[in-house]
Amino acid sequence: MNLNQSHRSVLALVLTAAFLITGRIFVWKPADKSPAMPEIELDNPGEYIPAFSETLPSESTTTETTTTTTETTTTTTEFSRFELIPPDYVVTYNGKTVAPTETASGQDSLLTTTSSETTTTTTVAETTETEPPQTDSAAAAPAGYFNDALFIGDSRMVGIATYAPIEGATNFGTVGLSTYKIAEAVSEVPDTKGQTFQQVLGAKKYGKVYIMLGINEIGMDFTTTMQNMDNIISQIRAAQPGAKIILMANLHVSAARHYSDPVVNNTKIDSFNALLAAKADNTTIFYLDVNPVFDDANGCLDAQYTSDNTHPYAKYYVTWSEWLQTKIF
Amino acid sequence: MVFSSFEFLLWFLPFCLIVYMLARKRAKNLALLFFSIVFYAYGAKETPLYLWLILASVVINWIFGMLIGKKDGHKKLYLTLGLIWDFGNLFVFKYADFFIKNLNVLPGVNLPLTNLILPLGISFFTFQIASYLIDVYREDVKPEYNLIDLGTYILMFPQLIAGPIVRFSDVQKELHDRRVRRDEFIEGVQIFIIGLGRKVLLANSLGGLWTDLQTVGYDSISTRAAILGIFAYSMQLYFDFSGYSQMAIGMGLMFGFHFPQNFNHPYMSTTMTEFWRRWHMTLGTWFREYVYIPLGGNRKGKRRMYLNMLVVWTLTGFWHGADWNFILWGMLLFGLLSIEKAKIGKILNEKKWLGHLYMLFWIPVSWMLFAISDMKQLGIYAAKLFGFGGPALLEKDYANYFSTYGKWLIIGLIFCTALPENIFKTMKNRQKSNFGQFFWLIETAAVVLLSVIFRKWLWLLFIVPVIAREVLYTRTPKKRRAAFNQCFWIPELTVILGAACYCIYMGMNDPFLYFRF
Repeated sequence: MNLNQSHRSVLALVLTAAFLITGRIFVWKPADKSPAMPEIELDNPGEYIPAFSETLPSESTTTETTTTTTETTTTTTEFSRFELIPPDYVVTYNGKTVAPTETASGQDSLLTTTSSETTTTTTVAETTETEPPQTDSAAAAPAGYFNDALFIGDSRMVGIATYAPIEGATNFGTVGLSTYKIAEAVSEVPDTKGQTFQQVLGAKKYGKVYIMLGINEIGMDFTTTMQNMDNIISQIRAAQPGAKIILMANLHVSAARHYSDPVVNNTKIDSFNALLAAKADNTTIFYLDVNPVFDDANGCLDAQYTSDNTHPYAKYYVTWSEWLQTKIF
Repeated sequence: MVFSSFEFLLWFLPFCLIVYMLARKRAKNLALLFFSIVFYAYGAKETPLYLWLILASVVINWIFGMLIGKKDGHKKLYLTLGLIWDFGNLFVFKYADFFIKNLNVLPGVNLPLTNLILPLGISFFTFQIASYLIDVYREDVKPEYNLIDLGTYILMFPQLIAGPIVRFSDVQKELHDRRVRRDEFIEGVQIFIIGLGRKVLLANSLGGLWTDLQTVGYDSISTRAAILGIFAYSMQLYFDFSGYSQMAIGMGLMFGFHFPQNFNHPYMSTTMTEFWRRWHMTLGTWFREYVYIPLGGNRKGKRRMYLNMLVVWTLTGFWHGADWNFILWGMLLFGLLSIEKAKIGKILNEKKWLGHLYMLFWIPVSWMLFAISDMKQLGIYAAKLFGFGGPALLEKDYANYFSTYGKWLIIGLIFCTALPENIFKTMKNRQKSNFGQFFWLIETAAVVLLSVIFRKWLWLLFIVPVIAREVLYTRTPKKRRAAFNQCFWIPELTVILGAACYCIYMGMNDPFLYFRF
């Protein structure tokens, strides 16, 4: 390309403009925006060193664990589905193994227990080609039920709030959000964009606060994460004394990631979810597990629903959102 | 090991360069070979057998090269055996599963899949070795009797994994006798850093958009988002691959090799024919030299020429991946090239604006076929792209994407042209033209202005060297100014390098797209 004389000054201007733009991006960067990060992406869990055998202090008692395992049958059976898990993935809680490693007949126990009286479960038998996940078509929540609801969560919550926001509900979501980052996080969802957690929490009176966190810190020490979670709960309690708190289970990853990723896999996610379930007392704190809706026969996120093995496609956020609207607390 | 990773940039490359510089002249190839094997071993650490495979391949080709060179009347046999080994490997590791899958569609056939992982860079080094054997057979080059020299040629890590496909005749002389000139070394570092910037800053930033669309699912996006997405992918592919090639060429210069150019502003082409003369030039040369011309090229009549083109483009498509979409992509290119050859090529070359418009349509469309392997997904995306895909889940999703990626698309567009390079060249020869001076003035002014506006300490990194350079330049005697200009880029490249390192550090780095071929 030959530059003739009259063009050169124009080109120089373009260059200067490019300089201005690039300068902005490369060097002068506002602290709260990261332009190069894709909008929906799981935060880098790999930056944390995974600790494979987490132990929790004796704060919460053993009896609590045992009661949970009996109450929420789903969580316990989910462990038994992974027969290929190496023994060092076992997560101990209070000196006791939370995830039983050996399984007699994984498939059978799955089918029988999921059909038992657990509230959140729908059986997912062998899914046929691109059949949309089925949700319980139980009575949807009455109109206005979600007007006093606050949803807090990570990239998947951003997905729900972006593609299928629940009418009336307030959302607080950030890609890569974790219990460690929540204090300085700034919301990325349309309805509360730019606000901090404290601002959103104090904005009005909430009756229900949904929390979906954990996947981004799944490689961290569970003890600390649970302490953080308790902190968040007490913050919510202080700001919203009457609100019910609903702890939402972390969505599974698909089989491809489950078997290849030493940090983010369903074994760890299930252990983490079990700890969340253990917090539920079913009067002020509840536990809500969406995984049966999206799981395949092996208890992994169905590969048809995702391209990155972690986030469901946008249209399944609609399914998820509809499912959420059938749950009343 | 990816070029744009800290283990390569901070450990491997500096250490390798130091050892290479310290090595005696005859040991330089050995040093390079050693580091190349380490490089490959590191890349293949999950599949250690592949290291032995490539080493065995080198030895076998060394033996066949010598046998062919003996001229004892059996050279055709030796060539055939050698090529069977090389392409057999490629077939087994890259294409076996594709054929098994397609055979299994037939009733009564149920073969087990091999599920082999593709050895790193096999498509590239197979072509490179094959070119060596064929050249020896044609007596274009003498066979290489020194195993270390041949091993260095094949395994040389800058070009081992993703090209450029260097032919033996390109480097034979340098393989035996080369000298690293200081100005060329500096130029190599320069090219390397620019390539790194293209990859890490441009390609990765643009790549986010395509990843986003995949995550969201093609059936939920709007037509405008689909258009943005395929443009972003086109640019990502270009900066990714040309960045890699530049890094390879730059490193080649650091080691005293002159690798052939691989890209020449392909997106400025006005026809698809021209595009493929400017895109991945070494691959095009390979197919021309070893497939098209041996088949008769255009000397055996029109019908034969189109048949030859069909063969070349089917193979080109298939080389890029063992999937139907790649064959479809090859077919599309064949179709376009044939039409251009027969009818519209002349018009497009004469009316440049028409040519650019034509390419503006076909480049993204052809890359769409290239990017999406799943036929059903491909159909969905194509429908979205042309507006038949139904409504989007989120009506204004393109606005979100544009606000995040718009600036990168614009910067990418500027860097697709020859403009930045021409400005750099003009600036390099500033004593020769007034406009060189003019750009310097603009640049210095912009830096000062930006420093004043943003008042960030980081700009000191930029402004101090720029001013220092200007002062030094005026004090340099006229006859030494050319040498001085060699270093003019230091502040700019420091910034590119710094920004690239920052992005790598922040974990925004993806492996190179071309590694999967």
